[in-house]
Amino acid sequence: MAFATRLALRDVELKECTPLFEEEQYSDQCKELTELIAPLLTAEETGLSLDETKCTGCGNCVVVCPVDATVEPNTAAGHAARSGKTVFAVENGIAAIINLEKCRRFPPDRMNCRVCEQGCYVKAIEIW
Amino acid sequence: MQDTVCCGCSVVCDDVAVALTKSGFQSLGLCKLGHEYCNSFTNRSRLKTSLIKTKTGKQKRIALTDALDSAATLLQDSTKPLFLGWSNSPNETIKQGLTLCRKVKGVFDSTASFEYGNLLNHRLQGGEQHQQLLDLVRNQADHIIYWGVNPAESHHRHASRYTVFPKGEKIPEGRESRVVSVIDIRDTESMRLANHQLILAPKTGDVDFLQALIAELEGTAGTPPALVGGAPAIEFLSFSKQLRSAEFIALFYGNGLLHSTHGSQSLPLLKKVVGLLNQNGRNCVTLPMVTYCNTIGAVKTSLKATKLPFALNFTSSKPSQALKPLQGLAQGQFDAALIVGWDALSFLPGPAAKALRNLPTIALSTHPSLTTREAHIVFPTALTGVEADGRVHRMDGTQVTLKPFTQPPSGILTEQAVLQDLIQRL
Repeated sequence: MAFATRLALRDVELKECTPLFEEEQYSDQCKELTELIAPLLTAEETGLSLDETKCTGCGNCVVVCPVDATVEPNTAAGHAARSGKTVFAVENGIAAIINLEKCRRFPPDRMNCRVCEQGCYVKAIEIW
Repeated sequence: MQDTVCCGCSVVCDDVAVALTKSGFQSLGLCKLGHEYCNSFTNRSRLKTSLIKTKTGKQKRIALTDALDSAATLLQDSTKPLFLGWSNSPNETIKQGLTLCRKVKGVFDSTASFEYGNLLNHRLQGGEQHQQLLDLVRNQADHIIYWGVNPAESHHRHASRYTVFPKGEKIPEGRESRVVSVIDIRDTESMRLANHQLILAPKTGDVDFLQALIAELEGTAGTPPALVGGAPAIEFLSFSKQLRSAEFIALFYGNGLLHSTHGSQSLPLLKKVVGLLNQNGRNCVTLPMVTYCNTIGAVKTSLKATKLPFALNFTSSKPSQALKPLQGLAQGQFDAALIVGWDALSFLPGPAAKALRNLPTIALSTHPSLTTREAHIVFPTALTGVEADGRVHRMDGTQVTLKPFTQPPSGILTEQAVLQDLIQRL
């Protein structure tokens, strides 16, 4: 269980579980686990993935993000992020994560914040 | 980066910036709709020269002055031209359009006439009006209702800028300080944000739901049936209870409510609901989610110039209200048309579109459309807010001054300049 938690937090990689890859009896589990964690590998360090093809640039993520509200207070009142210091900004009609290291989910703090995911109309933001 | 104002929809965002770099057009804060709108000035397919239809029915290029001459002649020879569009144009253009229409004794109608009709008339003539209502909603509204509209698709930044998420004077926690209800006939993206997700039955759902709500607010309701207008009774009761406990309710409604099968019955009922809530000590405001960036401006400019909101008949010395211009169009009452900034053939009902297709038409447009393809004379024009300046009114009637960030290509005039030239030639 401890290994699974560390795997989800991306502190370890699946290949570090050597029996899974070396012993024939675990081959099915190895295949299943590899498929299961595949989305996790495409996510950022925060577990946050942003699908640009779905995003409409509504800016909900910019306005709800508590970090954005701190570094650029106008965003909390609905204004577009313009300072370049926020976690999210809408660039060329699509949301972008411009300062991932400021996200409350970023290691080592890893707070379980999901407000951007909850505020996204189109499920463009997903947290793994 | 340079500040600008987006004319992509009726929210008219004024907190955005753009830049023209070597790698192309870049924007900050514009939603997808706004970015595509502002970037469309770079579109290779945009209209570049004036066009005129030949006897064979094909369009050919023509010099701007010749096109202006031909358009002036067409309007002069017409006994009753119809002027359509206007909701994507700044107020200054609309003013020129009214002057031209008065000069050629035509009928002037904007998209507001068939988008929200008398409802806008009522609002803007003082029936129910708040200056900067959207800012008031952001600062005070603790219950937001979207009815028959899906801002996630039509007005991308509406929820983040003014209604659902932003913090305000009496809304310290933003989203957490508000209750959000979305009422529609299907599950929409906007429902993801809602506390109350009410899916009503098509056709009669709105009317049944409103009638039940009135009875509930009047205190005359008995036990509700299992389904109220298609929504489970428990959800209906929860919604009505929430309404009675809210302090400031902002109700945004769209074509889904107005243009449903019984849309004409829904409006008086909705008005009654708002009246009852206000009587009960709630502050309830409503706002139609108009589509185009200056639908409200088209109505306001007409009201200012003629005291009439739309469908203006200039055939006599004093302007009067024209009776249903679109029906008149379908019945062949007009002998020419001038369409400004709108793809009329794509949006008009079938009989009106067919009639318009057979009329000699002058079209002013930035990009090719069904209307420009069928028009007898086409003028390429500058893009409102991007290449052309002026003032527009966003959906709550607040006036916003445009901040264009580039010049139109050489030989392309603004809509205002084309109309001004036509006025001089006539």
